[in-house]
Amino acid sequence: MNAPRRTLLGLTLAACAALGSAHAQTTIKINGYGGTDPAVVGDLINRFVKPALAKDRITVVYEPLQGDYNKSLTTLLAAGNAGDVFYLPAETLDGFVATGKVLPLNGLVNTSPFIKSLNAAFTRGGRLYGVAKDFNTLTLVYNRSLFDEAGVKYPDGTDTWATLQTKLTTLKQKLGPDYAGICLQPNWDRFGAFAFATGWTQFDSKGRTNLADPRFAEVFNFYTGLARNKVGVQPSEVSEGWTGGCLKTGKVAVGIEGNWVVNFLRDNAPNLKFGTALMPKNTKTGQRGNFLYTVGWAINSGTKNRAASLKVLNILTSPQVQQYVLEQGLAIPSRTALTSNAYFRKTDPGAQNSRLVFDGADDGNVRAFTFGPQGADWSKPINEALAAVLSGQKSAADALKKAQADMNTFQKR
Amino acid sequence: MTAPAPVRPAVRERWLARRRWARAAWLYAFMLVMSFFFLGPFVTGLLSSLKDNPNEYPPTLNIPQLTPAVIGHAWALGVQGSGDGWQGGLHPGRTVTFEVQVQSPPGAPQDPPAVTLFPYQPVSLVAVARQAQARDYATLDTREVARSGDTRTYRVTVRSPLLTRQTGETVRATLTEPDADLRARLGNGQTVPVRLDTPQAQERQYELNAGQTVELTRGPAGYTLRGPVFERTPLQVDVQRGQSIVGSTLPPSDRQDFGRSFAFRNVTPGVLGYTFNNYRRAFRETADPASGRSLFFSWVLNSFLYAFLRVAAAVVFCSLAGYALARMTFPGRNLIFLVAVLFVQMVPSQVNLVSNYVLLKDLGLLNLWGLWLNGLVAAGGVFLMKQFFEGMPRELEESAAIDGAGPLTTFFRVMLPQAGPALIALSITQFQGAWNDFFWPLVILRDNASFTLTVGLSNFRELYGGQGDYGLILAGAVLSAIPVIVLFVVFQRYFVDTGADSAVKG
Amino acid sequence: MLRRGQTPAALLFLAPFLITTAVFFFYAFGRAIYYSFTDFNLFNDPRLIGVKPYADVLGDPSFRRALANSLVFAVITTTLQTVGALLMAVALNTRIRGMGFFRSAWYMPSITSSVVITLIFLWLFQRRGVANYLITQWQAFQPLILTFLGVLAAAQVAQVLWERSRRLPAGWLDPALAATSALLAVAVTAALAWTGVVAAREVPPFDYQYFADRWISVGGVRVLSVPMLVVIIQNTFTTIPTLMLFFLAGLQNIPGALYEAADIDGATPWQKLTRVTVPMLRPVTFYVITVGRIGTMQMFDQVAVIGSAAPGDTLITLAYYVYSNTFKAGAAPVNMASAGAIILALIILVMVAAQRRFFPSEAP
Repeated sequence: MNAPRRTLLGLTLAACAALGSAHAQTTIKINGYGGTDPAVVGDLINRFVKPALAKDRITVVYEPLQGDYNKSLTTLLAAGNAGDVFYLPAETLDGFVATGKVLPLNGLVNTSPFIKSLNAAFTRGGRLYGVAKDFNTLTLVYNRSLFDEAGVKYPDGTDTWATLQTKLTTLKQKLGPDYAGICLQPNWDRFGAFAFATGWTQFDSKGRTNLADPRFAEVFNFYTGLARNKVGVQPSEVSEGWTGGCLKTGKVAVGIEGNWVVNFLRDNAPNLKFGTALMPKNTKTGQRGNFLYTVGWAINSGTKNRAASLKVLNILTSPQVQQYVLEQGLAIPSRTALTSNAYFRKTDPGAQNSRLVFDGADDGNVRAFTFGPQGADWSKPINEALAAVLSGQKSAADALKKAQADMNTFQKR
Repeated sequence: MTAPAPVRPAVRERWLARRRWARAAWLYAFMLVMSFFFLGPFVTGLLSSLKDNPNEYPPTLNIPQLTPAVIGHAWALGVQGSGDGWQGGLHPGRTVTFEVQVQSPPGAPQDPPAVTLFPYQPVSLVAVARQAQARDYATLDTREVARSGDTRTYRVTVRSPLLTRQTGETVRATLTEPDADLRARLGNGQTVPVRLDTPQAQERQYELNAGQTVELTRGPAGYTLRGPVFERTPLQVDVQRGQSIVGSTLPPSDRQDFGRSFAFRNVTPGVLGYTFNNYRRAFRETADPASGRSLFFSWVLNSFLYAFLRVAAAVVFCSLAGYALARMTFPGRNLIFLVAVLFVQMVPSQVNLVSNYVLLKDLGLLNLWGLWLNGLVAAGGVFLMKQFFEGMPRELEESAAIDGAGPLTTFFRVMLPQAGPALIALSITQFQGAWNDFFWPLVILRDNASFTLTVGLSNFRELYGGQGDYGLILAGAVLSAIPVIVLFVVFQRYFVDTGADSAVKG
Repeated sequence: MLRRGQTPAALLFLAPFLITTAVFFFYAFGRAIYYSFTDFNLFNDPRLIGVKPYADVLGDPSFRRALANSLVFAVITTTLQTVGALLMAVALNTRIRGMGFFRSAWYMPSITSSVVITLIFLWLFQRRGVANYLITQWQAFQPLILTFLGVLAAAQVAQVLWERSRRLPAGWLDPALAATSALLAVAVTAALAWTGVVAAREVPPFDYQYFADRWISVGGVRVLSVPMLVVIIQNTFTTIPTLMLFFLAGLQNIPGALYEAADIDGATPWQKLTRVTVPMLRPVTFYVITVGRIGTMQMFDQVAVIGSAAPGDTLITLAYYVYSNTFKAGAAPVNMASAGAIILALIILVMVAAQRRFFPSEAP
């Protein structure tokens, strides 16, 4: 183990930087998302980072990258003028690690207060490349009115796949053709959570994906089986692009979504009465499955101000900052200690959703949302199979066979 | 076909005349049908951009936003709430009444509806500080005012309180970053301290964010806070099972719970806030928190600037180059024409993507100027001007040469003034090209505020994780089409002739 | 005459053009060729590795799909828009009142940007969008429409026979008679609908997802995806008006004497179209096809705007392939992107050369 040595190295560097900064002003540049993030991060910088670092003569600027963040960050890293600290989405971690421009943080950052599965999401080959900024998991978001009208009990934490399916089927029977039980996206990004519940793994020890696994067939049949008799519908069937849109229409009882749906519903269906439940457990294993969607803070390996960057990173992931972010309803914090925060005990549907999203990170088979080293095309065979079965073009068996063949070709590339 | 037997000339004449008329009628019918076809998508887009939900199915042409009676109500409610029938809103000290009809058949609950205000501040592309919500200030009062059969009419009264006791002139202001006191910037740019002279006002001191629009009263005690100005008054009406809502002053913007829950995103909309709500949103909800300027507005300006720069560069440089290629003799002329004009036009711009991106990045020109430089002299424009100058009589230059004018003088004094029609054609194609350009702006422009309209508009689709908000998208699409349509109407003749001539001559 | 010593002045005149072209075109072009033979991934120092990037590109299923999509798109769109524009120009080549209005109205799709039109089409072709709604309406009103068409045909036949019996030279499509027939058909249909003999049907909403992974296959080979078909419709819709104006301008340059001569020879309208109009329009057609082909082979905007709304590789084109392989998350196969771009350029050049070689641009 050379972790102590690296710590030492880190300390030495910190000391050097401290000496250097005694003479001159250091500016740390942060790259992150555009949209609503500049206001949020700008606020954090003003409230927390600047006061703490003023005496070190470190100033911090936030440079948002508009449009496709991954593409923009790539070009900046290539040109050598990316920020010292930047957002690193876990799902594209592999591509960025391959560039050698992301600093491994082992020994430089104390990761024990953070949720374990989040650290795992940023670890490759034993090296940690980022610290989770915030995260999201999937939950069942449901329309209370539809359940009330049908006289069916709301989904809750005790539901298994079987009981959930029964609830949805009953609801559909009671409400008739204009309404549906659940919104199903023909996509790995929702389906995968169910797959993990069976204990199926995305990659085996050799990095190959086995779609012929009986557990995969089980989840595939369950997921596509929800569409039978129109209990489950695809978003496009109600002329929407995603599950949030399904919920907005008020005609679909359940959607599988993360915390981001709360803002969407507040803006687009202000009088929709919704509730949240944890993902259902697999009937056989009794486990839930879930995705972790997370974005981390990472440090540019080419930075000239490593120590200062580390300081900034530590402040941005400090308990105070995370508490502030949570209480403002901006994001779900990555520190385990915040589980007892008062915000999670509030009763409004948004806060309840936040709590269950937080709880979801630690319950059952939770895996980071990633496509593996070959990128997003990995999920194509699965998505195609799901779309083919959900729209009734193929039988589940045929679709699975084709998906496995496609997956093998893809992974041989 | 057998040759027709002769008929009487008069009959034949009448018959032919009838045919001519009928042929014209069919032609007009055909043209009308095709006009529907070509304008249809725009017109449906325009009409749907006015709706609360542009995705409603089945799509209907019965749009409340275009119904005079409803627009009248929107105006009246806007006047009640703010004194401004166009912009609407809810101002301090004003009272708004809104009516709802509820049908409660015998056997159903006979209770009045549950009426509440709810917080509503949609986010678009950028976050703006949370604005004061009418729910936290205004009071509601619901009472039955009429009954006919099993239908009762309830009048909801929304009262926005006055937070000052002082009387005096009312002025509009915007709160600035607070320090120990609340401060506000007046319309004339002057920043003044704001006093809170009532307990109700003092309660609110820490709730109001910078950027909030407020009304102040100017009196002997200085400026006191009259209250925040609410952009919207969002109202929600819920009835119980068995009851139904059968009417309301404005149609609801959202229905949930089997029609038993109506949300009115704004009961004081004014005409702009009602009929043109999506348009107003495109401007207001893209306000850059740093500068307070509407990003949408910046995109429009950027597009105009870029188009103008491109046209200006083309008029000067393309005509210079075109003239040189058309009229001057020098070694390599044909080669330059073949390689730099014809060949360049055939090679797709994707070939130059990596290099130009990296180059502009190294020059620090990933902005509008880099974009301009990248497409500074269009080969197509050079081609067009060369064709034009070749068609001009040589006598003009010859007489200029006799007068002893140099090539530059000849060009600018003699040739360019003659090139009017070609320059208009060139300007129009360049303007259109720049206004509609998407690939290079997408690659080169990196900053929200420096986008052109095409890139910005495509960003509307990125809302809510790539789902988009079709109200905004359609409104933005219509707005972005307007300048080109205006240009087109003004310069119609040239538009229509432009490409055609080059095609025929080329 | 300005003969001697013109070279410096000419170079001065050409300088802005030549410099920017040299920097932003030839230098860039050269770099792209260089990268396409290296292992460049944006993060390393490029090293020459020979033709491997070309082999990689040609072996990449996405590239092959992009190539097929681009070619199919270019061929179908160019054909549709050229033929459509020509026919419409011929139909419109009359001097009637109000022509200005119609020209302006029809020109509208051509002046709005591809981004705007794509967004609108994306909206129109949603699963519960206006396009499907119109198809539903068409199905619902089919009985009425069929009645109308039936009565129209019957009335027309009856009238033509009657006129011919009066020895007037009535053709089957005689416009005057057709107008009467149409009025009659409207009246009959309205009467039948009023009395309830025929009525609109109840049909379920037409439910078709355009932006899905659906393909039109020929002999088991996926030729054309449905999303691409929508883009083809959209592109044809936007370009027909411009091209039609080109043809109209060309038509007005055809000497009327040619048609008079054809009339004297007793040519039918169809013969006049194929023997006079089309050959005389050959220069314009040549131009229209060249422009159309170059434009369609570079199609990018629509794909980028539609983005994730169309799944998988249904819409990928060569231009988009190059773009998306240049900017990726992390290390990107820029060498492959460059190789793809060079291949795209070669294809366009070959197409233009072939067209020049095999399809003469001069009028006979």
